[in-house]
Amino acid sequence: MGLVEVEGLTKRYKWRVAVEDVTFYVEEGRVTGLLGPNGAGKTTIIRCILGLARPDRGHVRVLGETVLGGLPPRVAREVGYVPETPEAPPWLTACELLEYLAVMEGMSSLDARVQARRALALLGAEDFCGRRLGGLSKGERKRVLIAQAFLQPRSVYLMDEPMAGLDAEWIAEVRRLISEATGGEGAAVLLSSHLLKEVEGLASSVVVLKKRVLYRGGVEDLLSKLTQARKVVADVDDAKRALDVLRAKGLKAQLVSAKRVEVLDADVEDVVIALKGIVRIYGVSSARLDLEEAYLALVRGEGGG
Amino acid sequence: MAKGLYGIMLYEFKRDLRKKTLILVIVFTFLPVLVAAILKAVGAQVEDERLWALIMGLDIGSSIAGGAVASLGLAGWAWLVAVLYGGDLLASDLREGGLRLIAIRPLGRKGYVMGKLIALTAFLVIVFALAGVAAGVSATIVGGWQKGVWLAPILGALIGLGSVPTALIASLFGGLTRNAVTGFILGAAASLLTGVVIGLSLSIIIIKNPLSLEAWRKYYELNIIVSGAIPITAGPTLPAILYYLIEFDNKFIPLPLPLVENPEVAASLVEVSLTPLEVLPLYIASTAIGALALAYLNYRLALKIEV
Ligand SMILES: Nc1ncnc2c1ncn2[C@@H]1O[C@H](COP(=O)(O)OP(=O)(O)OP(=O)(O)O)[C@@H](O)[C@H]1O
Ligand SMILES: [Mg+2]
Repeated sequence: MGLVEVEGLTKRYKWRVAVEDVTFYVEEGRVTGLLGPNGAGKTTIIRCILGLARPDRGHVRVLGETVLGGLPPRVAREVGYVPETPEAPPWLTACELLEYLAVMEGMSSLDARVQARRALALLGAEDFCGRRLGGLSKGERKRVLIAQAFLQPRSVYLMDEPMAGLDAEWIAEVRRLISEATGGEGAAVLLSSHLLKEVEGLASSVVVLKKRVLYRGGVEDLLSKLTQARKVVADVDDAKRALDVLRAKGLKAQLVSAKRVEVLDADVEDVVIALKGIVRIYGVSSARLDLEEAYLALVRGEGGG
Repeated sequence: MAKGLYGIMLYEFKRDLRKKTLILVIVFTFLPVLVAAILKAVGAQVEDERLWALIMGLDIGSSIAGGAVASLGLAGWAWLVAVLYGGDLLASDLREGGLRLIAIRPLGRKGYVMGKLIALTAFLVIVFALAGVAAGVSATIVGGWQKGVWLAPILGALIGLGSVPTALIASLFGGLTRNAVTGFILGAAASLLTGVVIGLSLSIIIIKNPLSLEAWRKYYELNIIVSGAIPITAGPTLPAILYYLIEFDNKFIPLPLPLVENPEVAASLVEVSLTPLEVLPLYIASTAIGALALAYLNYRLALKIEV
């Protein structure tokens, strides 16, 4: 159960499957991270939740109402959406865009003016008010598009890589806005990213995606699972040769330099036995993966591919 | 509901006003005025009392100079304005990401299309009505007293209304291909070719003997009827039909014969036995039905399209 429920979602483009049998829930008062590498299907899922794209199978409910070809009017006002790419009608000024959208949400012209300026100010974008969107930089336009999601308090925010393209100052500010929305107002936030560190410290649960769901659960559990992951580092005279041998044995080896290979999910002994007599071994040791490495190993190793 | 729709209409109005096509409308309005002024200055005879209707392209004139002014008339350009506004009606919002922001609002895609279509129609009506006012005023300045000039804004508005089917065809093509330029081109092709195809096929079928006046009369009469039955040719001609109904005692002006072989026949004009009042209902009905049908197709497309 959750404010957003995605069940058995499958989406194809022509015949290519983009996401397959994805199920997860976005609960109130917390941030749910939607993680996955490029092309994993994050944007596709968010577009299906909003009714911008139609699932081929499965269904989506927002605030208990089924989404069919568009958000039901009753819930639409409760949903804020930050699109991934910073495209916006270049012939509008930032204030015009936000005012028109606010009027479309049912605000009076006066309220729309006030709320548009307030929302822009949240993102430090009040100076863009009278400027055409076509004349803003990508990051500036992205801030206007984030502001648009905050035109009024929402129960659900769907944010597709909101931090992409922003500088450090505004990444921090957006993180603050997101925690405020979930904390004080109890909103449900779905935050997509291809970087673990972007949702770390913000999300309490995560869905790791690569066409299918690779992991779904608490972020703490994921982190402890990831930090337990270890790798074996082998220094040898011919790393290329070693790599071939290790891969031939089905081990997840990768080249680090001409004289070093790393092996994931393996014991030191396995590596030594595999390489003995084939290359000269200078040293073999076991080390912890850092978080980002472990996350990469997770999304690379398993899944739809 | 109404308020949300108002927001979408504001959005579309702003887009229409910011488009450079507006400059083109101004050029098209004043170009025939300029030509008329020059022709008069060099001493050519222009139909002074009907100058406003020549400028608006409603009257075809009976002098060479008058014909020249009329050939540049506003009504003759309406298709181009319609195509330029219609071609990116949907395509621009797909390309620029406007639709994904609007479609998730409470009015959704239905409100989006309705608001856009209402606003574009209103915009075309207002712009051409204003062009009619400008034509009336400048005709008075250039040609003196104008007969029936009070009709200018009304017929101008009708030019705008009559170009809606053309705009909606362009919009459909633009939306289907997600590309404004193909919307412009295919919309323009549709509106230009339809007239040409009607004229050509009728002339092949009917004009067995190019020297027969009777054949030409039949050709013109059928052309008026067939053009009236097809929305993208009926719409732009509708204002002229009304003009002849009111200003020419419900008679079509005698039409010239495009024939040169026999000087005797070429010089003569042929009068059709149809009256504007007889064909007016056909023109109104096909413009209205065509506009509604095309609006519906645009609506279906906007409901379906993924953004
Ligand atoms: N309009 C489309 N037509 C065809 N294929 C598409 C379309 N949109 C996405 N895809 C494909 O669907 C898959 C998922 O794409 P999606 O944009 O959802 O990924 P993503 O996780 O958002 O990636 P990124 O991190 O790059 O934004 C990809 O393989 C992509 O090529
Ligand atoms: Mg994406």
